[in-house]
Amino acid sequence: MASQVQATPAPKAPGLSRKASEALHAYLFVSPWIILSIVFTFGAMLYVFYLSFTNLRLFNTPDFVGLANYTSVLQNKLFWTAVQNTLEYAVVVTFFQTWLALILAVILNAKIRGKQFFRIGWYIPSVTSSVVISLVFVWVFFKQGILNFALVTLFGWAGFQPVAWLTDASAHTALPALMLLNISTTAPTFMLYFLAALQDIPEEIYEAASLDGAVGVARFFKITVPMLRPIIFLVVVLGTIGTLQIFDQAFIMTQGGPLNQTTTINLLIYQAAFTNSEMARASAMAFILFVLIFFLFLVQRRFLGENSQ
Amino acid sequence: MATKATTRPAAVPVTQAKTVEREPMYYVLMTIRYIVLILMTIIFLGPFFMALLGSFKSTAEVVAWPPTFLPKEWRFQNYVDVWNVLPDEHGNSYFPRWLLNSFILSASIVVAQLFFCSIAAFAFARLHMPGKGIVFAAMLSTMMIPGMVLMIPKYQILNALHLVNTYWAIIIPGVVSAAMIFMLTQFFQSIPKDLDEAAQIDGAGIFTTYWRVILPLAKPALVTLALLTFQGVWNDFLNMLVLLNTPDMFPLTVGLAFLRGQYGTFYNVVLAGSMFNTLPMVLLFIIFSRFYVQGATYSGVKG
Repeated sequence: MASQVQATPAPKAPGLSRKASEALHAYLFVSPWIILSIVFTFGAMLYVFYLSFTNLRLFNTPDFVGLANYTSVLQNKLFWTAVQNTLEYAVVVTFFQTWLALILAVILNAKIRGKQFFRIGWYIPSVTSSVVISLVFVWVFFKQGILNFALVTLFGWAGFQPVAWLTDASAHTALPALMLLNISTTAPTFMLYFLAALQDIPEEIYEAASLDGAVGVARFFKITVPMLRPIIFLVVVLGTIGTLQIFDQAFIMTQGGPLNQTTTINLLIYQAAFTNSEMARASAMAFILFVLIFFLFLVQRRFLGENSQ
Repeated sequence: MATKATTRPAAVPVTQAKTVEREPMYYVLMTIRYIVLILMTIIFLGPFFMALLGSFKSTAEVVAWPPTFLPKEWRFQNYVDVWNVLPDEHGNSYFPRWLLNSFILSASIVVAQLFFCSIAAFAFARLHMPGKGIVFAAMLSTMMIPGMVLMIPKYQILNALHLVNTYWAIIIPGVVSAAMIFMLTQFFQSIPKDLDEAAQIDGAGIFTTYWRVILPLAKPALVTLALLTFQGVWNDFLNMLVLLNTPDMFPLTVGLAFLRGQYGTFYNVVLAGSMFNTLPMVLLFIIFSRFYVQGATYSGVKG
């Protein structure tokens, strides 16, 4: 019977029930994903975990070294700087981009002219590569850049002086500059999610609430925010996972500088693995990052997820 | 409230806007809305618009203080310069090569995913499959794993197969995508089941049902997949940076980052190079914008 099991378009094998034939087809159809994910995802995860207990550098035969990589990473001051930078970045960016996206969606959800223009126009940064965004913002943030020009024009009277946002170590502006850049380029994407969800809130709920006197800000917090809770959860989770992995901008714009103020976990992993050929050490950091992301996901699910109240 | 024919409270927007007089407060609120919207547009798009103008300025003007708005003299030459900026040992420029590499990689992965993702989604959405729930959940869970964590083993595996620094290093792991299978599964589930049943009564096999009945109905979702995947590969940086190592194999993103290292002070040339990466994506987006929004809302996953 096994010989009749193959990917013929119309299986009419007498001994094979319709259900069994469907199941075989189904697994055949999904097999490309199954094979690739066993190799490049699940197998790869196990392999990273294994590597993190070895002394692999690049091409040597790995020997088991126990927890040596983890103790060395956890005793490294630069690693903790990177963890701090990454967490600060993730918290600030996720918080502001979620609120900004939500507020903009509410503003745009009203009957206003030119809605389509804003929706489409604001999405343009989202179709732009992180590389180009980084290159553009290096130019925006440098000392004679347009950000300084705008700020001097607006606040020059209060004594604002141009800052070299990405390179001035004493001003501590490099990490906030990266935050600002990420908030302003990803908020519009998440706004689309909120806008789609807002259109699903029945108008009657608002009408009922306005009879009860809930208008304006009260209406926003008492109806809109609770109704959008699942989407808020999604946006916070996606935002956190994305921001904890910040790499491209830090790699291209600052290389972690000035004075490691923008060194992130991913930047350290990359440098360890692909610049310094310390694969095992990089694997240990990668695994710590994975655990961190998973832990934060569980925390968020606890406090924001569907069953949290 | 000075209206005659309504008992509604003032806060509820009235549908026959033109015939109804509104409170002054309404106009104040509307004005505030527009001010916020215009301000945000300047913040969101201003940098990119200024970068576009900057790509036409001279090297001196693009860093001048105070910055100019329109270029004093439109230098289209910057685009020619960046095209020829980095010649290889035979005197051929690398830049067009980078563009071509980006295009080849993006197009190949789109073609592969159109088939492999849609057929997997067909199985998830339409076929009897024991253990489907587990496989599907496993697939969704992979979307949470950080890309950098997988880079190390990916590099090792592809290196062992002698595929690093070839197109295959990008294409083979890219032929399926959990996010796209998920999006298509959602879409296929919305197609009425009677259609495949009718096809099967007519004697169509399972593959024929997928190929002749479901795929033609899924065109909008397939266009969405093609656009989002093309854009994803075209804009990808980390994979390409790790897996493609020599300038002749670089895609445009890695090439541009490389240019910044070499010619970082020539902002005008770097900006002109950036436009080669961005403008095609913006153009595709403006032409096909409805498909992007559909993708974002269908899957709930960042495209």
